[in-house]
Amino acid sequence: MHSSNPSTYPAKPEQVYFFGTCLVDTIYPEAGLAAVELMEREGVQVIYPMAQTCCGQPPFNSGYWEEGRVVAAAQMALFPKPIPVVVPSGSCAAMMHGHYPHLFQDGRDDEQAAQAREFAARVFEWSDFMLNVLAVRLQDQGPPVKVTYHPSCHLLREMGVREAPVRLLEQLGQVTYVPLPEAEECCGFGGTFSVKHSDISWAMVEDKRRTVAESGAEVLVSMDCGCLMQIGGAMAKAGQNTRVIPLPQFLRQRTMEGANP
Amino acid sequence: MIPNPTQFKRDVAREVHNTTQRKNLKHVTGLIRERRNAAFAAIEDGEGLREIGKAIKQESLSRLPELLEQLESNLTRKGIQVHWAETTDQANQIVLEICRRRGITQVIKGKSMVSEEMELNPFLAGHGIEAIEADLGEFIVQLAEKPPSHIIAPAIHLNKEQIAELFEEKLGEPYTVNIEEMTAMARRVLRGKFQSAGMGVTGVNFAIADTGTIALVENEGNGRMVTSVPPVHVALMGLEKVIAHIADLPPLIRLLCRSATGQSISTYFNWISYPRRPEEKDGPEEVHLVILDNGRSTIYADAELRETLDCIRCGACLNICPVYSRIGGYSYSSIYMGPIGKILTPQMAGLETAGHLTGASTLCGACVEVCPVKIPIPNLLLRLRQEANQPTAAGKEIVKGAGSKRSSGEAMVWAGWKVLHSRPAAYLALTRLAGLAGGLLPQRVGPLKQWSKFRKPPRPAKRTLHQLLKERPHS
Amino acid sequence: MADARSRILERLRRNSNTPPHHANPVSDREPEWQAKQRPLGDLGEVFVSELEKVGSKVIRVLDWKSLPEAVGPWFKEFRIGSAMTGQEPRLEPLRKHLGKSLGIDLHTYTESLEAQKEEIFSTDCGITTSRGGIADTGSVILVPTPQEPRLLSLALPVHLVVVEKENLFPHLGAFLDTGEFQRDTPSNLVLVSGASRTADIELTLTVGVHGPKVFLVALVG
Repeated sequence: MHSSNPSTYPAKPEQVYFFGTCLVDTIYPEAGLAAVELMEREGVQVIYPMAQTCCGQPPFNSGYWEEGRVVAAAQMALFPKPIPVVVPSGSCAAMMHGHYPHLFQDGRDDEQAAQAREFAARVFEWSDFMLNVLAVRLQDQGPPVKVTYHPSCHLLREMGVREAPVRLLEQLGQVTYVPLPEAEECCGFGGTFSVKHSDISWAMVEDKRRTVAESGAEVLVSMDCGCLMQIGGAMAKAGQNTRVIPLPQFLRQRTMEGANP
Repeated sequence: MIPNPTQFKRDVAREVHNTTQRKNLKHVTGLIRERRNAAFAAIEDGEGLREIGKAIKQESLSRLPELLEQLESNLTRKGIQVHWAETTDQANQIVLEICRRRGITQVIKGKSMVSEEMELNPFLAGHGIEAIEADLGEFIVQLAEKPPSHIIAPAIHLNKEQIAELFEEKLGEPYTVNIEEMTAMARRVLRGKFQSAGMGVTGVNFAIADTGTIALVENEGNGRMVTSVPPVHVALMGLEKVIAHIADLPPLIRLLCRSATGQSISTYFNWISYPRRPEEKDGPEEVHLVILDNGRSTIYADAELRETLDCIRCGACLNICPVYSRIGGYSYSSIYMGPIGKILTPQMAGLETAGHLTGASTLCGACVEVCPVKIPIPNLLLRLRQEANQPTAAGKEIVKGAGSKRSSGEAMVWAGWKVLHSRPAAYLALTRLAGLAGGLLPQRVGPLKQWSKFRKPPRPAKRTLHQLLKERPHS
Repeated sequence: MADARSRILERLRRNSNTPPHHANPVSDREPEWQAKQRPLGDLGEVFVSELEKVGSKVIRVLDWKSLPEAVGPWFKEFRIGSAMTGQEPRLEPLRKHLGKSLGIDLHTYTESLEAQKEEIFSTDCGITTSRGGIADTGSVILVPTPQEPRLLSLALPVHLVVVEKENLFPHLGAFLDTGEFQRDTPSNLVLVSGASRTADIELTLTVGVHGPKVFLVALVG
């Protein structure tokens, strides 16, 4: 948890790695592109190793640690330089920052375990990195809009990032941030949980949908695309027309010349 | 009560639509959470207190056999009889034998989750002995012929109208939704039972080794009644309840009451150290302590899973769990429900029976934030999922039923997934293809069918992030 | 079940040397934690305010002599017709006052629970002394004795208890620090922090479920 101890934040680096995550890669690539461009705008060179795939969380969460380990090891090998690895997802960042050391400890390959610890310490979640390492100052270019934020569980509780996304939104002059009621309650996504336990997942997202409506926001942002797929998917099916958009993409749109999102 | 995956699915599918129950649970768990948070806000360094609680439990557990023996010898010296039971059957037999020896036909009970684990009431009924629950919540669910649906608040799923109907039907009392009057009805019924019962049965919140003391936390006074009026008191405890020192009690009681109900202390906090002594005028002539294993010593063997035994049964994890409040306590078909139930029951009953419970979590981690002894429940769920599918020790069953959930179908899916995600060329080709195929993915079968029940399916982007970044003009 | 005992202990012993998963230091940290808490101030005031928060009635008197006159009005207020004490000499002046001046029907717990069950369960108010109190939680420390048995503070609808201010402890740990519990462990010790209560129906607080419905505390000193 970098955020719980600011002394662990590094100075602003010249270069960073970007781990895009499989979900951003395949479903929300615009969010990934926005995350990269916003970092570049701060004068940081962003390296995106083209051989990257997935952090390994799906099999890990399903009890198939061996398969998770193989894929995780392949990822770690792609990020050898001692520079930050920035991840635009609380959940995937938590996997790499929090669970990799444990995953490889369990594999009992000492060299790999040490590598996992070294790697994990360099993993940052994007909004936390933007605010606390790059110290970004955003200039809002868009029209007035009411926005609410859904904090994903893993960003909140595993990465300990509670404030950064809201602080970034608050930098936007024309954006009114409206708090989401019962914000810290899970949306019911949970990866394979969303299909294996779709009844419970439904009951959870129904309440989330209601609180989004209660917030009065026109736009819902989050740092986890899994949550947005869940909440956005349920809202779309129910005909609820709040716009749902990943935070990096929203910030990019708001801060472009002639922005009109 | 035996958990079962098919039953679980069925019960969940029904209970998520039980709007009355969902409303009741949301209302009450929300209130308890507010009180719990206020109680922690009222002290300095609540986090430090939780760390002390954790340290006490871990320290006590690391010396468990020694402390149990010390407890036994101190209690025995003072005339309290100690019994050991490996299984719930043995524990039930111990209680039955005491009843038989003393000709007891009526037993009055304080709240005890271990007695639920033993299914003591139906067992005694089968031998012609009536067991009556004295805790109001337990009394209500007993009238409804159900086990508790929450560790601390047994009747949490029922509202006052439902309870009023129950009292009308089962007690023949006039229908009233006045909670004071309803409480008075229970008091009237139970007053006589305290006096006529031959045995009082309670649980144990903490057993203190160095002074030989059984500590009981309660608000209603039923615990005091049950341990003071009947001639015999039998206390039932899981073997993890022992702590080394009486000085460990203040931080633990502070944590337990604040976490369970938001009180700084419960109304009554009983410390029982002797049966009635010759010169004393009341108190039970006989006091017994039954120490139950029922799978706990197996949980104990693994240092990581051992944290399960830190639990002090405050129920805070249930109150904050987004799954519990939507499916209710009964859906689990397990004595222990909610987050703690999901790690405890699969280890006690075995993964083949209860392993499915470990999957019914989004791993949101809300429970970890409120646990007074900081049990890392999501991490233990992950570990149990691993043991269920891919046991960590070959030839040795760390958890009962290790490997029993492994299906060749799912194993194949993950094996294929691994190949795809560790070979970049394959991954790139497939993700591009998915983008091109777009909406053509099969939506009537498999995961997408489940997904699409109430959510619009996600649509793969036409160009992946890999492609977008590769094709950028300036990169 | 001697076999069960040895098998359980044997299984545990095989693993008891496993270091705790979280290598926390042994927990002597309670005093350190207590030192971080806001200072309580006057123990008597804290004790009274904690008790009143949960609906207990408290009256403060200067000394034992003024106790009878001071608590007398409670008997009218709560319509107490009968009262029972144990054989505690310090309560004799109160008994005299209750019997003679207020006409309360007085009983004494002299025999045993079995011999006096009916009498105990049909009297209105039990009166006892106490070992003291815990200020930060507003708890009365009751240590029932042959002179003042358990049921006096339990089975009667009203319990009136006398607490001496000099016996107030700031918190539970401070009481344990005296070492008296460890040296001379009583059969039963109970901390009582108000009238019997339940919240088992819709979390609505209801007073007087199995124990006393009214909890009266006289703080002396």
